[in-house]
Amino acid sequence: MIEYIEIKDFTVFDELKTDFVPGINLFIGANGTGKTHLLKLLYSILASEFIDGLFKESSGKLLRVFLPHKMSLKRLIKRGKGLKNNALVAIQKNGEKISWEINEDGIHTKSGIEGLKPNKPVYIPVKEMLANAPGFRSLYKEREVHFEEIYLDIIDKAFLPSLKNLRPDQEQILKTLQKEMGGKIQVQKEEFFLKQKAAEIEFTLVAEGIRKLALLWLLVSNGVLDKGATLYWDEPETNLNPSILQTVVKILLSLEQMGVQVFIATHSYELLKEFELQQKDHSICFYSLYKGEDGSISINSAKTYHQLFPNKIADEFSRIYDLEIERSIRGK
Amino acid sequence: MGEILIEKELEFDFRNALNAIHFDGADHKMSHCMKAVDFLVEWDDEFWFVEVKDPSASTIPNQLRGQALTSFINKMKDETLFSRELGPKLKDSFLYYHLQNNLPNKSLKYFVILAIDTLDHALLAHSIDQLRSYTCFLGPDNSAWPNRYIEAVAIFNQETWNKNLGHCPVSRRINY
Repeated sequence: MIEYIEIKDFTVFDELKTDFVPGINLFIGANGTGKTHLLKLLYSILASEFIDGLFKESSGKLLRVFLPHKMSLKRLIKRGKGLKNNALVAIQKNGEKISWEINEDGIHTKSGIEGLKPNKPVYIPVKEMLANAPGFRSLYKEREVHFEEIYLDIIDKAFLPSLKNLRPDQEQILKTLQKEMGGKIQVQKEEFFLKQKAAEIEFTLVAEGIRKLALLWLLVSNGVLDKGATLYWDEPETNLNPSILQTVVKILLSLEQMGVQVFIATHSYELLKEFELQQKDHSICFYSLYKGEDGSISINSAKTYHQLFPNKIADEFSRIYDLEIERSIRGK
Repeated sequence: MGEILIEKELEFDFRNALNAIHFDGADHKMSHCMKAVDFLVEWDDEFWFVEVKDPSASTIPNQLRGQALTSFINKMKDETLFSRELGPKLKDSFLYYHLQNNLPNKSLKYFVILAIDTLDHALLAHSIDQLRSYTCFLGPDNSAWPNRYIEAVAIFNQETWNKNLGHCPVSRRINY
């Protein structure tokens, strides 16, 4: 479990510190306030490969996840006023603090690396990839394709075979998803199918929203999402009708109960509100990333959605409401 | 003359209005078959139908308040608040006045106050859409009816009522 992060001079961030909850961490913010960067940074640190407790490669994962121009680490260091030569990142994980310095030569562990045990991070990107899975892995491995590695990683994880025995809590999640999807998922060679009563439907013909649920189904059935895993999900709401969001929230809360730590970046009022309404007895925290007057990114957190400030999503609804009222009262 | 009108715990100061009355009282005489809004308020160039919903009033006994709020929220969710209460109240009140030949030649508006603090602006904006639909308010594009009908509907909570209608503020009076 990640309890804390501190970032200095990395991509859009000047200086940012925040605690996390063990359960569900929800990030909102205008475009360009670093939500995805925060998720990707946490993921690439935790997804780095280890040998005997040491990083197998110092900077590869970070570069392959962020894909800076010419794969230059220097481009991940905050640019702008005053030339910066390095960025600093520190996290606290399971009570131990680990810190890194990033400069153009590489990513250097400053302290605590021995505490960083292999982890099971899962990153679900905005774009759904299962329908494009056939051949993608070999293409990615053999050719220079300009795709962040998160896309390859999620396909790799989706292809892991199902567990032989599932616990009742895992079965329950699969059942909930099957009800919404109208069937189970099958893999034939490199292709995914939705197996319904009457037919097997190839994923290219399945609605993108349903494919997102299918990905969850695969990751739960093969045990990738289980106790001790961390899930990073960028905009779960994309391509989902708001009516399916309640199922997504239900699944995420079940995963939280199972011991999965979740990080979500979102623009969806419905998703946030659904979490707030179902939050009883769950570990949930809402975070707002925002640009201050000096242009630097800050973060605020709140235990409930309506206490979160600043809240760009609520502001937009207020603007629409004000226009409605303006029209009604003054006939404008 | 306008006056202060009270609905349960909510006190509306309509003293700046030309006229303000309770509409759903004993004088209505058609309550066996027609629903009625709470107040009618007349201004120089506007005539308002006003309905007050206060499911969190402290006059509701403590043990029932949670239940009252839940039942109210359920009515919002399944839209019966709009289809069976707020919509018909306006339509019946409008018809009543129309049949009386009493509708003033002024801009007619329907204002509803939902006195629930937790109703955020997103839910209020969504509720306005539903109210619009169930009051048959078709807006400026209405070509079906040559006769005039209400020109605007709006839903407020206590805060947004006072922010936008400061000339007739609402306040909560709690009698202990």
